[in-house]
Amino acid sequence: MSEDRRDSADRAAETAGSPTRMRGGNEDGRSQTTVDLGSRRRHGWVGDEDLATTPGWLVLKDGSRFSGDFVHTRQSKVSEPVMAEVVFNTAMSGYQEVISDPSYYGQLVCFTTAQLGNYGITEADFQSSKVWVGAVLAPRYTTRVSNFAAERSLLEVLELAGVPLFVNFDARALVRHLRDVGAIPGRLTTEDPEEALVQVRGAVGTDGKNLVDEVSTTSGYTIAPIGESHSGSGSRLVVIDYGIKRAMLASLTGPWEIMVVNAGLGAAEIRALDPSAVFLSNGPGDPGALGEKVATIAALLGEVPIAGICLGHQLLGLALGAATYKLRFGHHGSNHPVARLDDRSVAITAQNHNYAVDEASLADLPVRVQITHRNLFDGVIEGFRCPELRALSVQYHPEAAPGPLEERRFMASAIADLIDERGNGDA
Amino acid sequence: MPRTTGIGSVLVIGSGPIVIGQASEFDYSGVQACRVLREEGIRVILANSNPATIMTDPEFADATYLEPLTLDVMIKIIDRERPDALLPTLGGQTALNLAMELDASGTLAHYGVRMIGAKPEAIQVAESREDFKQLLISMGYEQATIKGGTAHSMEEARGIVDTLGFPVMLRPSFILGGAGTGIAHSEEEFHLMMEAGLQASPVNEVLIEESIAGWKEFELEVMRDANDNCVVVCSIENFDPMGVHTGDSITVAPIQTLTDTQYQEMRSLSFAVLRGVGVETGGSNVQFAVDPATGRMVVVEMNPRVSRSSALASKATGFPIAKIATKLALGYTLDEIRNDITVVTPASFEPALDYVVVKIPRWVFEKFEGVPEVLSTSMQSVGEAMAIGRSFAEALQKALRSIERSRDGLNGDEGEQVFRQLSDEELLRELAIASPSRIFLVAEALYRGIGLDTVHASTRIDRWFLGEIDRIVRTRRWLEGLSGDLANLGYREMLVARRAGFGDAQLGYLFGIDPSQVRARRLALGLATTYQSVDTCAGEFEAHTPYFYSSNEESTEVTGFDAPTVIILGSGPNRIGQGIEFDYCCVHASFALQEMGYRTVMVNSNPETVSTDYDTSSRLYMEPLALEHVLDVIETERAQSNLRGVFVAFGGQTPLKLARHLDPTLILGTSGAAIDRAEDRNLWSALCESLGILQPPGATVTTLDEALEAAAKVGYPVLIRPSYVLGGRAMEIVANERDLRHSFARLASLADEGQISQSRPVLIDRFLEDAIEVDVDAVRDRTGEVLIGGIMEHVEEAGVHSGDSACVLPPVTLGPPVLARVEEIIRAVANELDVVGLINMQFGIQNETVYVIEANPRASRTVPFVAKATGIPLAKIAARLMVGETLAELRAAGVTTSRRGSHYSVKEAVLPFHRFPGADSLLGPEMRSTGEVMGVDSTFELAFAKSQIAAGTVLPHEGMVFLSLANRDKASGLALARQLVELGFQLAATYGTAGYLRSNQVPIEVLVDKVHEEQVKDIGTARDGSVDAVWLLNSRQVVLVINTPEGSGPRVDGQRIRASAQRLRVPCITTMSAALAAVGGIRALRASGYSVAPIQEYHG
Repeated sequence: MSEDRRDSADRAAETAGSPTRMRGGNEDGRSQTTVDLGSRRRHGWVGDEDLATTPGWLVLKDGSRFSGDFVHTRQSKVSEPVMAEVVFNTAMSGYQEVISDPSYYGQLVCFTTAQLGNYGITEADFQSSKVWVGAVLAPRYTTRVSNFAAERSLLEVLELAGVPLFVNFDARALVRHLRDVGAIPGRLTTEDPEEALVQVRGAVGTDGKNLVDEVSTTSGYTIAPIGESHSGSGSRLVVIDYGIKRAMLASLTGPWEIMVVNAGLGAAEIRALDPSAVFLSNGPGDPGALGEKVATIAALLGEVPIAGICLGHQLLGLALGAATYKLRFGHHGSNHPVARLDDRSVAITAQNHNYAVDEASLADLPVRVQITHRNLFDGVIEGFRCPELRALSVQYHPEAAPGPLEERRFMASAIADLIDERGNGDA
Repeated sequence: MPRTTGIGSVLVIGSGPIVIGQASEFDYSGVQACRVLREEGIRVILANSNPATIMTDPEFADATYLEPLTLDVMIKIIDRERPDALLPTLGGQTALNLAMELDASGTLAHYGVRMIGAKPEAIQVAESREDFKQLLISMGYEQATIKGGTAHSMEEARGIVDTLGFPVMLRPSFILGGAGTGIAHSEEEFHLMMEAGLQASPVNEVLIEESIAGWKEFELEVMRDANDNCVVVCSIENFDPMGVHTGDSITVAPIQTLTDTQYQEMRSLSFAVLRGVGVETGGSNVQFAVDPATGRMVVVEMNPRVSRSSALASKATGFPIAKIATKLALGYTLDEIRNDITVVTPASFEPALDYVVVKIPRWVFEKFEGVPEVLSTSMQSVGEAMAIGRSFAEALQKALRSIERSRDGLNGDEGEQVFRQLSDEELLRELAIASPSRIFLVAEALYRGIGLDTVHASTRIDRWFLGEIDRIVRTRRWLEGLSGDLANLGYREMLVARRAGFGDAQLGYLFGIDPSQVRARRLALGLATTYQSVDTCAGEFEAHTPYFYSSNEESTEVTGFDAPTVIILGSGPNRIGQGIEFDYCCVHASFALQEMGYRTVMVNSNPETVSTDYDTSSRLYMEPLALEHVLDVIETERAQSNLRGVFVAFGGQTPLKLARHLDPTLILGTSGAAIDRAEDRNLWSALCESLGILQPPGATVTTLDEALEAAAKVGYPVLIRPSYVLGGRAMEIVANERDLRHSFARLASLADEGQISQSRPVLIDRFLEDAIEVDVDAVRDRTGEVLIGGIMEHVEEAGVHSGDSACVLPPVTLGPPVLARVEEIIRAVANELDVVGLINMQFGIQNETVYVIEANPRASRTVPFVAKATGIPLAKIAARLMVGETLAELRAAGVTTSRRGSHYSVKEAVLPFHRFPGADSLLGPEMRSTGEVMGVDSTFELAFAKSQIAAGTVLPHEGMVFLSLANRDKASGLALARQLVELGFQLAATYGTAGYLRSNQVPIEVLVDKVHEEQVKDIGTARDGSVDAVWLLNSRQVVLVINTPEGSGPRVDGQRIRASAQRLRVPCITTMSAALAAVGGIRALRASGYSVAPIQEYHG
């Protein structure tokens, strides 16, 4: 990424050596203190922590409960109860990318991989400037941290962010339960589970919640073009930040200037930026709760090429007039096969979404929409394009982080193609 | 992409005998391949010389060639069968090398056979380290290559090492399992190792590289389909850093200590390698080393085929690599293949693991006296066990129980005392050496408070692993603090201990009580063992294939079977004496019962095998064959299923040892009491006496004094053997009192190591000199009917362990009265023991008198050979009898019909001496072979010759034969020598032998001085014109060595000759009977050559 990128207040550059500002806090609005990730940079490995555990519970809204332990340092105590939607992620590596992914904002994320925290935290792998998850759940927490790149332990970072770490519970039973009942709210607590159940019964999930405005950049920033100039040079890619990850920005870099903007910008404001193309990022929560954003996209459709991923994909679908729905337990992992329908090639992809575009609703649109990608696990639409309006999007995360890298340059080249098609009408 | 057209028949090449570096995993992969091909309606032609495999069962292929795996044989098979395609990627290095030879010789082109699954060019690049390195550099990955170069001569080598400096790593090209590879630290080592390496490599090529010993080591199991879709099936991290062969390393799946960024870089690199090498379809294994200080990642090597690691990966993930690789070879793409476990998802995905898998190798150094227990870059283990747990700690402790080295885990058991007795100094010194014991030394060091950093500095084991071991050690310390009173073990304490991997036996040891009390308390606390499934998807989808491991969670995933259910206890890790033959028996038992409508439950810990394929049984538990785990499975199945009982008779000694602790009413077939009657010397002698059966005179003793007295009474030489051992562990023939004392001292030290039982008695028998040994496998049903499966006559005389001896079926020298007596005895014994199922008996025939050596009312090592030789599926029949069917019923169903025609089948043992350069290759009563081959033909001589070729012994057609015979063999040696001369061979002989032969008018070309001198003398320097034996062998004039040593004890006589022959790969025969058979074979080959035929034809 270029040097002239202006960091917004809460979205630090990952320029090597400079301390990253981390802000704790989650949807409960707790601690807003900022912490310094870089100050305790060490080499080689991070030593054994002074670990302590306190027994506690995860209680789900349907009454099921899981007994486990909160892990914390001896000096600290267990944080206050947290309550949010519980999801699981089956990626075997990449917890640092997940906890710093704004798409997970507020969620209680259960990692299925057996032991978490093994390789510590490497600042360069963080996907934003803070920990966004509401809590981290895992079967077991590591004893030691060992990796040449490790700077801190996972626990240190979670404690600084005030995010609880809950382990030593039957995580597999939780996953099998979520697989059957779908993602539901849960409460993590040291209190009496009966009391917790009373609390969690009143909880609502992510449906109908606008979480995007809480994670989007406030002031915006730009990234200079890179690479040799060709037809794309001199152009500008406006990235609407619904909760973007650093890896996505890195994978979008190209012969265009990237201008990252707040998710609340209206169509007129975006038009005023004279974009060559607009990119709709990933982000947390229910696309159905983002009517204004959908309207903005709808207004721009046809005027400017639009590409999107994940939440951006769902919003594009809504803007085209399609519908979205909530998946039973979502896609969260690094191993989902996605078929490109044109050449039947299959990519193993990173996934993180609870909502999806409804296939039937695409059939009745006034414009022609081609389904371009499909999930081979469950047939969910993973991508479509609308040549007439020069728009395309994918549901999966081509930027990975965490996950396989084969699709990493997919978006940049797709956007270059869209820009090249300017005025050509169809693809 | 649909299946490739034009493939109606496929030739599959197996991997041949079990050897170090190539074991049961290729039976597993071969079975999967054959199944897939037949499901596709393809005619399967199979070549494999190993009769103990499931894949060579006649029903797995249309034409099964139990023939030597040589180019010559392959050409004959191709000429006969005219296959459309050759699938060479599932039979290990053996199959790949043969395929390359078939390609290079033009055979494939000549017969229009297409190679599927790999292209010769791709194999060439992957196998040649230099080509492979150049490829990486050309793809822009120079940083990912190890610096160095290849040498074809010492001069070239010198040039390379001058630029690199010591230490350097040496690797000969085109070798199996890393033989001949190693690190040279000095000029001297370098010189010796280069010389050996240039010889070991079939292309005289050795790669010399910067040493990356101590780096972190990783492997990825990768697949690619014809549409260029790539997936990583499994990632593996080695506990032992670079410097220990991966086959000798403790390995862990998935990778534990890489960030996602680092892992994805490795993943992408592995795909680039696959594409660059040109692996178009199928599975490959890519190995990486990572510098722990900088993260620099280098590609160590890649194997463009299914491997030991891919078998492990399949068992670790539930993703059947061999099966999928076969489909890919046929042109299917990953997205067209269904994932059997989830049913709803395709094979084009990457398994997600929510558990930790630990594999630990099984070594048998104790079998090779004089070989140091040091691990290096040349593989020495003969087997492995795998365990799955919810954490590394749980999996590690289970795996340590699984390898059956009398350990109950990492510590907290009797076995830890050996390490506790070491001084800190000794401990630190031993810690620095990679050895089978190192894992225990690490635990001991951490227990003593020797810092984790110190341990890391001396072992280079990653701190993450050391940290997890430290967790176990700290848990153990904490348990010590509680150990005053069992009441201190509350629910939470018990749970914490269990989740650190501590089992009932360890807690019993730590609390000074019987493990059964711990167990009772645990169950009372509500901590019954739970089971989780291996489902490829971390629980994301419902699993349909029941493959389970134990855990300490709240929920369990096992659901019961309504149909009658039988548990089959497997045989655990392969070791010498207990290997694939017993897995074969377990698998057959499972197949037989399922055919009857039963549900079968397999318990085993060996990831290489067919028995641990989730397709083999109705349910699979990947669990240690340790009492507490077996009891857990039994209790679970008893509670959930319609459990009829447990099979303990098929898995060798491992389940038999457990049987005595199980509910006797659950043991199906022959009772535990009957097994004891056959094992216990006094009971057995009484039985023989009551039936009027002769035994070699003997006695049971427990002390040296008793032994000396007994030996004096029965007369030397005597055979001594501890009871309850398999494979002749610690068995010896001793010729006099001095040797007997020596032997007892050795037994005592073995007992101290926990390798043999302290309390069990030792048997002393008169050794039957010059007797012919006979092995019989039979079955008996509950009505008392006995079916003789086969009578095998050993080629080597009594005194060589039956597992190391060649044998022939049917017998060639025994007359009808002897055979009738043998059958009579086996019926009487089987009836007396009330055997239901299998019985194996061994006899010694001395001058037409039949002596019983032993009876084993259980599956034996020879059951698969008998089945292949006769067509009688003995193990399947036994399984059916054990659940109540009768031979009459099976006969009516046509199951028991012998289809044996007029052919001879010879089983030959395959020995691993070239892996253990310090060990003597002399055969004896302790079994040391790792595997077996079979030769079938119309005459004994041809069958024997084929068995020798299959075992890798090149029977020469011409040249010089070197004879060095014991005095007692000189008379029979005369006939042998005359035959050799008649066949046109020149003879060399040692003084005594030469003198005897010359006096009988046999011409001796070269006189050899066998004196135990270290110095090698030039020809002609001795006054009498004799040459040194080693010099003669080094001169490469000798094509065959026949050396029968004096006496029958463990002697060093002739060891230099045998060691040199071994080093130079000159066949060396150590018994007169084998030599005579070999000469018969040479004569038969000369006379008529040999043809090949599938066993389906022999069975008619």
